[in-house]
Amino acid sequence: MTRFQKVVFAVVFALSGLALALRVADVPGQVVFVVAAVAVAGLAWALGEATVQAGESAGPRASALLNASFGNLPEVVILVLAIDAGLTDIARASIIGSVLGNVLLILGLALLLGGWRHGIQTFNERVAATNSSMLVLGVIGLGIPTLFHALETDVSSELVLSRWTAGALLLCYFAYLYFSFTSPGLHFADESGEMTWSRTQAIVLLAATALATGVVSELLVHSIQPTIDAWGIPRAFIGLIVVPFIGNVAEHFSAVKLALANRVDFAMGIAYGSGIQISLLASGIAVFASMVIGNEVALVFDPLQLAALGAAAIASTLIARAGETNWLEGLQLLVIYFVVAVAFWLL
Amino acid sequence: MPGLGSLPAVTRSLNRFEVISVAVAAAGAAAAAALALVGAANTLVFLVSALALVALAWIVGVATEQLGESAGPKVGGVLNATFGNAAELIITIFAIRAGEIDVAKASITGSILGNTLLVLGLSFVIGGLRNGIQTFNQQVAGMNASMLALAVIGLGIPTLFERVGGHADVQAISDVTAGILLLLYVLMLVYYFRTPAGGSKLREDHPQPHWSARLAMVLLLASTGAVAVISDVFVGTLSQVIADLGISAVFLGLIIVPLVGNIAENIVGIKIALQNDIDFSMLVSLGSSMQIALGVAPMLVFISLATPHSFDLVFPAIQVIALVAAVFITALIAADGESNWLEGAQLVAVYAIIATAVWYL
Repeated sequence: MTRFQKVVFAVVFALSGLALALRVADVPGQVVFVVAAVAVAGLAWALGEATVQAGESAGPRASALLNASFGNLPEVVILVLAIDAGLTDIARASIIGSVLGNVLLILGLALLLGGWRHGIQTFNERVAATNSSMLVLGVIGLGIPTLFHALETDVSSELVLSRWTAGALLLCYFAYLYFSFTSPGLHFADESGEMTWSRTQAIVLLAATALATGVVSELLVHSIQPTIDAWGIPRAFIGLIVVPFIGNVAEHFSAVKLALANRVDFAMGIAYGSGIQISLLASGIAVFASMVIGNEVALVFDPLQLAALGAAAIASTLIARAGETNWLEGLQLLVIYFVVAVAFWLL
Repeated sequence: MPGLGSLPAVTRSLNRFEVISVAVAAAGAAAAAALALVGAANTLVFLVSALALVALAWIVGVATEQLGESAGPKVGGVLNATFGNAAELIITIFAIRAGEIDVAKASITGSILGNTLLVLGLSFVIGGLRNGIQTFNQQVAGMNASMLALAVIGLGIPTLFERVGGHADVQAISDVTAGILLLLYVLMLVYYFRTPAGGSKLREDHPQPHWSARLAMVLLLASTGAVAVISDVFVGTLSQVIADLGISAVFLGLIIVPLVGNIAENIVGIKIALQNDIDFSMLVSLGSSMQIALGVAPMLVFISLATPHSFDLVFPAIQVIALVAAVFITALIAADGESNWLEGAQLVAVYAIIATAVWYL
């Protein structure tokens, strides 16, 4: 373990403990929210580190699979807990918000900073093409039940349609995973990092961080309502912008770091991969988890949020199709994100 | 051009099959007509007439091809463009005549969705699993995709005006739009025949026809006539099927009717993809979609003037949105000049989700 990792892990676990203590001490919800938010952001990063290290000892395939499943664990945990807490509108908004955050904010920031430093950056068009059409599939999948809802407000058939759609999207996600692992030229190897942790250390830390993520996410979710009451933040804004941002902070850092190192392929891989994972996998998990919880959620979204998602998919597709990026394209994505955020703040 | 060598094999291998399918079609058609006359159970008549139509549509397609081969590529192209979707056109005309306007409209969108999502998707999946990454002519595919986008815009505008502009004269907008789409269809045919790299030229150096022109002509006329008769029977069962089986008119029109009119063609498209001629396979599926959107739909607007029911280009909003989604993802996938099984799976997934939504609607 490097010195930096040791410090960050210590800070993250300390913050998690602090959040728990604050909750037990019954301090106002918004304070718990802020501490828990910082802790979750840190845990998301720690989880990423632990996953990489655990993967290194397990070989490249297992590593990619681990990354694919743990990459968005905090988002998925928050999503399921929010459904459990009855905050279904925030849960739904956070699915869309997370995709928006990935393809607009993270990608935009990476392209802006990377392009500013390196000029025009090129990437593997084939990978980007697969990713962007996969993302469009996710948007269509999330859009159709909403459309259906607008025409037919019969709740039971809406839930059935949601289940089938979620099943189809999950199936596509696994096909996508299988495809990326088996197709030569499409699978891009992970950074071959040096294995600095022992296997036991990696697994123990992975388990500990995952557990802490669960606990702190629970604290976070339960302080959402008090925070809304105390500060008057619009609900849609919390779900669409704030909650996804907390889960995505770690991805911001790695994507920007990679883009600054002129590895825009990897940066795009993170942003798209994460967006695809949320729209195909996390949404499916949300539907089936909510069935188990007993508070079933349909994949019916706010039409405005869905429109924002459609715009994001189109804009990022156009960029993925060009085969090269520059800072102006990054700026365009950021502007779209900014306008969407302002719109939902004022809504 | 890749894969042209495989074409003679396609045609010849069907030879024995053709005899059987003509027999099946004739028997099916006779059975359907007989069952309808003796007043058999409605669902039975529906199923038998559907099967007969599948076989007949297949014969129409083969006969058109054979006649085209003996008449030369230009006439063959015109024939294909006219009779390629003859079965569907006839079924839809009878549906309009019987007042099943919902079914007729849904069958138009359903045909386009089925061709661009299901058939193309299955072609990509099956071809990609067998042949890995398949490449196709980007220019032709791009043009087809943009043409299809244009067709969808054309079909969408009357709907949009009906929705937003409360006082718009929808019938007039429909008529004019239909005229423009038809004109565009003719222009597209002219373009294909005059451009050496045009899509239909893929099939220029044809094998020798193995049917005589007279046989092909007779079979074409006979099967087209039979399609008309059986369509009448088939359409007559629809309203009862809706009531008996609890299938909605929209599902019937969007999924079942296009399958009946198209399935033979669909199998051909998938088979060609298996032989790694993805160019030709795309031509079959996207070309058929364009024929429906630019040819069949506007023709129906004018033909419906001769029936007591009027057919305009105003579609239910969900169908137009489904079309837009389908065309968007197809254009995206066609734009890069290569396909793989995952892209195919994406198209099939969109189709499956739309079909599920319509089923529960």
